[in-house]
Amino acid sequence: MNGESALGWVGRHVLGFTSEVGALLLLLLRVARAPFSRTFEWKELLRQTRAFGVESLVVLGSTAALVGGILVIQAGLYVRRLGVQELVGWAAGFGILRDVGPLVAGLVFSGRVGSRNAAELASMATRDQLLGLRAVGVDSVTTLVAPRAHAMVVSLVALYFIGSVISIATAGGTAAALLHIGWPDFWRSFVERTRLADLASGTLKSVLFAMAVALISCHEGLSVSGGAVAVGEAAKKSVVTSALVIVILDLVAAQVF
Amino acid sequence: MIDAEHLTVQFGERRALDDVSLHVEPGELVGIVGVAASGKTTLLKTLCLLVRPDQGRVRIGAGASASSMAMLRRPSDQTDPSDPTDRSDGIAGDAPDGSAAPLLDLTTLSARDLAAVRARFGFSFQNLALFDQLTAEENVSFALVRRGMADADARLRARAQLKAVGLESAAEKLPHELSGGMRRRLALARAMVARPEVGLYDDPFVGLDPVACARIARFIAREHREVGGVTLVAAGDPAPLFAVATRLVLLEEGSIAADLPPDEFARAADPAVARYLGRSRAA
Repeated sequence: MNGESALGWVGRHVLGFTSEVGALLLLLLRVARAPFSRTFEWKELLRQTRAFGVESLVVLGSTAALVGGILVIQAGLYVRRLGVQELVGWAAGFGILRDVGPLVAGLVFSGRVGSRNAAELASMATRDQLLGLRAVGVDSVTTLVAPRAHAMVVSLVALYFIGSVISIATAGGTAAALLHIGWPDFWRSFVERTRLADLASGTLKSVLFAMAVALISCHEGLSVSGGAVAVGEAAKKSVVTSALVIVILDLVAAQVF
Repeated sequence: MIDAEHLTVQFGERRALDDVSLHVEPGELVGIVGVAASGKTTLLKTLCLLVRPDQGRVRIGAGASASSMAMLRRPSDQTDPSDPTDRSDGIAGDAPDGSAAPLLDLTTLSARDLAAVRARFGFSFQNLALFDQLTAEENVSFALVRRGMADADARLRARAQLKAVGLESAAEKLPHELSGGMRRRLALARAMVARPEVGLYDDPFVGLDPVACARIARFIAREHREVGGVTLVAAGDPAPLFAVATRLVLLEEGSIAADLPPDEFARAADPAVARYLGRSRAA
């Protein structure tokens, strides 16, 4: 601590943390208000939604397909031992819709989209492009940051739905191949026992995770100073912080809804 | 007119500007010269409040005062509430001698009013700050469109400005498809397209050969004459400015070391100027 007292060290980190949280909350407020501004860039929202969503589709689809299979393989041991084949469809649906689906989508999204967003904004900041916007009287949050943040929410929710469908399909396929549970039985178990609340819970989590990735990546990108190294650092910090926050939010959400 | 009084800017431990006062009358083209890290960029950014001074104030003439004050009071969303330069919600103006046109104190303006006032500034950044995804024409027309000009009119005006800097054939190109000199001219065209009352050009000569430097200096001087406002050009090398500047201000470690007409500056009678020119020629 280079001669700094323990109390000073704690104080400095507490101040740093509260400052970061405060900045994130202010950014959240401005991003939430932005669509009501006449200068909000709706075209940019559509462009970024397409970019974030389409670009993440292949990697998320592949991950979702694997996750569906893994869930059934892991459940297989107990299903055979306990003879509860009729619960496989429900277990897969419950796990995917409520927990694994949004969590995997969020983590993949933070790595794929959050890092890119942080790097792009950081690159713009280091090359004075954000200052350039201010120089002509344009609010960079309304025109640049908020459309990206809202696009992330739309994209991640859409990716959650698509990923969940793929996961459940591969779960059904794996159940048929390894556990000899026919697709009609799997589907019946899924439809009869899975509740709409499971889907609602997963959707809500997706929104929360997307907001976390959006705010953290935008904040890291905007608050950068320095050159190319700082751009890489912003992307790294965005991914690491987003992943941590997503897991914490998942833990909290599991208790609340 | 632009009037800066006792500007002090501190970046952490480093004092980038130290009690700088500068007064520039309409029609003046002032060169801000000095070695690297002498405070040139910080001064230009502080003059348009992209950097907020820790001490001091910046005032500009109310210009077409009625329209500018009306512009200030017009509701606008073109603001940045988190703008670190935002300190107040008032509009400050004063008439120091009781009769002159009121001066607008930028350091007291809200983010909203400051955003409106920035329409009167043209700023070209040292590292250009061109928008990568926009074509040359879109880069130039961007500010006009954002300020409410019809898209077609903005494009026409952008085309004319690009022609003025010799980039008419590059209108549809992206910045990365242009050479360094062309990008620099594009940045100037973007800063000048709105015919700003206060033009602030941060080292537009960096990385260019002497011929290109002289060409850019002539272009800035021509635009300056046509608009008739205030122009400040920061430069590490004073050579391109000798022929066009009204006066040259030498910054040394964040302070003004000399403020002389170009011919006196070139004679290097002042020790600080002699020291600087010695270094500049050696480089």
